[in-house]
Amino acid sequence: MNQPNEPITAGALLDTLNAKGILHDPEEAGKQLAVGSVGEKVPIYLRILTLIGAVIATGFFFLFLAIYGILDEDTLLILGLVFVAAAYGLLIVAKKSNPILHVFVATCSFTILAVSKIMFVIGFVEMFDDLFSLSSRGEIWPATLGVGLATVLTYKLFPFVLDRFISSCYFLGFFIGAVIALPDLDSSVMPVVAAWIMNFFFLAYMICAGFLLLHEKVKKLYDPVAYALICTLLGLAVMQSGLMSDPKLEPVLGFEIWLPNFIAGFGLLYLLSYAVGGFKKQMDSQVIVIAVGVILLAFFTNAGILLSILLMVFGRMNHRPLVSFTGWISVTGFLIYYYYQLDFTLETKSYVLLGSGGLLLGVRLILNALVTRKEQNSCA
Amino acid sequence: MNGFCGGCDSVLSVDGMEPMDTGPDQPVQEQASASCEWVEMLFASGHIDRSGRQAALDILHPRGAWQAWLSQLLLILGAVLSLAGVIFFFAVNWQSIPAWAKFTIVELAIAGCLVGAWRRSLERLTGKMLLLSAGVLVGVFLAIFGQVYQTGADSFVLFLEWAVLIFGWAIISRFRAYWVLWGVLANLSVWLYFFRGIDAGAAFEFIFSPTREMTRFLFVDMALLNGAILAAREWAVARGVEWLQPNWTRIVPAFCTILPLSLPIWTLIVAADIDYNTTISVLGLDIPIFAKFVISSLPPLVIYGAGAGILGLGMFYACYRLKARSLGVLTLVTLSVCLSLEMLCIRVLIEMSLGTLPILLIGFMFTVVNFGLAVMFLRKIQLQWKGSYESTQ
Repeated sequence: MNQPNEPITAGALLDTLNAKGILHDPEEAGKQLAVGSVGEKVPIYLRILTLIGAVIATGFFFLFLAIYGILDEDTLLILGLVFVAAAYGLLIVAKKSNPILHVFVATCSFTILAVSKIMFVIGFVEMFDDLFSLSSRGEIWPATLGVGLATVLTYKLFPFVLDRFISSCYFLGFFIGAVIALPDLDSSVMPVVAAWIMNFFFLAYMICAGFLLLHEKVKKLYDPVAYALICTLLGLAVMQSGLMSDPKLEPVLGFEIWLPNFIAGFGLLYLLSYAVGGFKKQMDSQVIVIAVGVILLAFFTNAGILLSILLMVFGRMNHRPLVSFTGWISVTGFLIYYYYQLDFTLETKSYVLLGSGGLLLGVRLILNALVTRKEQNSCA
Repeated sequence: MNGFCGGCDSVLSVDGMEPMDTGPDQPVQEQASASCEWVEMLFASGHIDRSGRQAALDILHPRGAWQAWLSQLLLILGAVLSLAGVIFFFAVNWQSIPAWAKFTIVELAIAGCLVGAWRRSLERLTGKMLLLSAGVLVGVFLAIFGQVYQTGADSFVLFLEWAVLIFGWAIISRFRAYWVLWGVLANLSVWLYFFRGIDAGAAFEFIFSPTREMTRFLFVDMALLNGAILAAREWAVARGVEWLQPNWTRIVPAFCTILPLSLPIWTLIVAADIDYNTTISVLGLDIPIFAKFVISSLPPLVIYGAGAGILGLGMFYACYRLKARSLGVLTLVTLSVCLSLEMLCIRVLIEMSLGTLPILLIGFMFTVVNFGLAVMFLRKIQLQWKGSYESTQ
């Protein structure tokens, strides 16, 4: 693991970045840091406290509106837009107000925005559900479109990262549900279609998350979408595991159970390659051992555990402890889920887990032996 | 920030910076230490792109030594999966294997882990993981013992024995994961002592509909247990124990102490009777008041629990505000107080028979003010600490 280095000064950091040619407008950047350093970062604890307050306040406010009778089916959509405007107005007031008032007004803005989005989506569903009544789950399409519209319209307008994340999660989840609901549920091809749709989403969401988090031209603005994609992927892994016992998701060519494992496995391999600066540069026996280990693990375990490992690697690579922590929490969650949910006998589960654990420990032994041999050779 | 909201800051926003209160021409603090937050600020403002962010973070915290990190990850995950496999394996209650064989397998595994830990040394992660594995296998051994001899012991006894038996190893391991395991076992044994099972419904009824038949109060015991763990942690850190330095080793036990301290207070607020238009006696004078809680209607242990809760929260506040400064713990205390005030507000509003609409509207406004004040209060403390820290540099 890394040891903490000697502290580096802000000036030295800026100089280094400037020398490498990766700092745009160094003078302005220096001013930005000077200004930002006055306030210092608001700790995560205070953000969570504010979020809890905002969620409770949203509940009170929405219930108030619902019981007051303002939530009429015909006017919900318009009211939703009016409330978005009100939330934006409050945000502008918050920008201009003093720090004391700022906290209250910003919280109110967040609350009204949350309520407005709920109203907008319900209003959208009420207004357009007739257009999408092709299948028995006709309402899910207007709901998906409503959530999507609400998310896109407000994404850049409001700076609330939690709102961006939650809205994106809802949209991505609804979208999967809507696509799965497209074919006729009674059709005999439904299990096959649903399984392949989920596999497709697993692949597509993983590629999108990787692109948003790793591509150098993508701005920080889109990080909440990337994290929403990761959360949805975890949800998909749970669904894939949980629905294995469902007759609707009987194995199709033996693939729908295993495909997410391999997608997650190859995602993990790509991330490891990216982290070490590309396997091509370091193509030696260690890389082969790691690749074989990951592929074998994809046979043994489930996609959720592979995704959890992927999160740990990404968190480490990208200096995001919260992501690593999420990886550890989700690996624990998947183990518990594995114990209670999967439709294997406990004995089979124990063999799978012992096999996976043994495999990882074996890979570690081989890797360590290879490193030792390499060191001995270089000394000789 | 992007879009319309350039520079708009709030604790809910991406940047999370306080509104600027100095002119933009102030020069950068050249000698101040750079931090990850600074890098994120440069990234958010578009002065560096994603690859620039990675390069800057790599300067601050080099991500090299991937081999060492990967080796550790493989060891920990491999051990966790293998141990889970062993637990699953014995949970099957494997009838085809004779009892002596089960005992032999587990005892040999424990002995093997201990020998391995001794050979590899507890200074290394491998040694620590082997000792942890031995600790987990002790639980498997106790479970098999219960199966084979049908001891009929309550489940809390198993966890209590397990926690007691591995306590010595936890001390010598100097390994945070070991103490997490030990803490979970100790809490489970207290919980199971009261409920004889993990029953959320029973626990909910216990909290919000307390009865006079209760002989002891679970949450005070849990608070005492976790409080003792936290106190031991603080004591050790004060004496320079480095492996307990990470902040989560303080926050987790603090949360596990503050939650059980808060629950009796919430019980008191929810379950106590209220007298209206009554008086209270102060120095022999009867002073008329609008309403007062009649706590005598509650079981004494709830009252003691709530008293202990208020006292405990006060102690937490004093300790972590004045002595061992920790914004995380203060936030937990403040959250508990905020939630108590929310419950009190709603309870009083309901008792006033105001009607649903006014209650919801007042509840909304009260929540905004309540949590807003709490955040401002904590932010002020944070800036005070920062100021006093910088003035001593």
